[in-house]
Amino acid sequence: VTVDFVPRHRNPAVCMTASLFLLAQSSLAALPINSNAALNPYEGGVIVRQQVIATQSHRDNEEVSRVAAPLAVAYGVTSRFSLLAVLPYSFLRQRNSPQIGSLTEKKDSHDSAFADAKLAGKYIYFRHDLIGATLRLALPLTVTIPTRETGFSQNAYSGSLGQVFTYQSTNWEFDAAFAFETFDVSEGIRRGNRVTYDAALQFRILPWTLPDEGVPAFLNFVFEINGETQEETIRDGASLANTGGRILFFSPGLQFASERYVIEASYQKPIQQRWNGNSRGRRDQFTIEERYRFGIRLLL
Amino acid sequence: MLRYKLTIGLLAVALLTGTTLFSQGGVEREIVASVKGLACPFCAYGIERQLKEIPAVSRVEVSIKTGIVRIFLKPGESVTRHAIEKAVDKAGFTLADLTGLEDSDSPEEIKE
Repeated sequence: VTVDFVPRHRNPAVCMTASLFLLAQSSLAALPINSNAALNPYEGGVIVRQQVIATQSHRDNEEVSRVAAPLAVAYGVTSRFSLLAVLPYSFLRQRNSPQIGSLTEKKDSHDSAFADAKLAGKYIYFRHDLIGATLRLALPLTVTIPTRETGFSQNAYSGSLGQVFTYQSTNWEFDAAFAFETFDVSEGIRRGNRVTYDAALQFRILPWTLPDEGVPAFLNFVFEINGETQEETIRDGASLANTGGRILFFSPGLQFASERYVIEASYQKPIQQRWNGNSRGRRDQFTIEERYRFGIRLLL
Repeated sequence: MLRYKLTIGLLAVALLTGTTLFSQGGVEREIVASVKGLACPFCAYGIERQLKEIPAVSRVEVSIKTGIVRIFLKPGESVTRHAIEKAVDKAGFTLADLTGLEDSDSPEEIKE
């Protein structure tokens, strides 16, 4: 049974916001920009990360600009276990130009609010260290607390459990992760389960050769692929037609990493997306034109 | 007479300086640790922080290329292998080797 209904929280723009903040929970101690990694702050160490993520999307006569500013704080409880809190503030600008006969009506609206907060824990259960390299596996567990702000919140509690793999050397690093997220029932509606997956490859481009002594700052080139697949939303036992789907991003980026801070920027482009529903044709035209991410991490 | 006074003065200064240095046990002592898992600059800061929390440690120098961490002890101070191993582990790395420990760095006495 399918019902052609788009609930408020399944609006594609809101779906994108949820994705942004899911990606924003990526490891703070690690080098990937949009992905997670099996690395933690040192015991007692605190990492503060501020990001600014700008997204522009178009659909028919609608243009949505969104700027999200998630602030994340990570604390190393032990060298293997860390806690993370993410509080995202978001600005939304929506421009519509509907055609009424031969006339075009222009509407411009602004809004801002806190999006859903996230609390996460990550435990490194396998660590194999070598001279100048490390291989680690970690289990991240995340709980999302909805702020229920219209247009900014997924309106339901959710829990996510995943798996992260990291191989890091002084020359390059590879990270791969996936997470399964399940949602609470809210107002009789249960969002479909979501699986997120990402892979990241980073190369040090400067300094080209490492000096014998000291810890120089690194300039890294970062290639990432992030994606998510979500089942349809269920209401009263019936699937809602215009819900669920999948999206995959390609995200090249640059990163400057020193001992105390990291400055990074990446550009995200969707390379594949398909949204479910009766209006699939229209939804397929929903394209995220551009997404830019700028961030800074400070180690305290 | 002036020459005599000057010589006495210089001797006194030399004696005092020498005594002070001797009482502090001379200069800093260096211990060299080989650390596994050290691979990025943002991760290296933790090992400096953790090792500097050991009271006997005056400064730390890290080579990210070789994974060698030079630990300089305050004059007259000692440290145990256990304390260094623990600090390296707290930073999220593995101690591979340690050279430069002396008999005074008693393994039974844990100084952290």
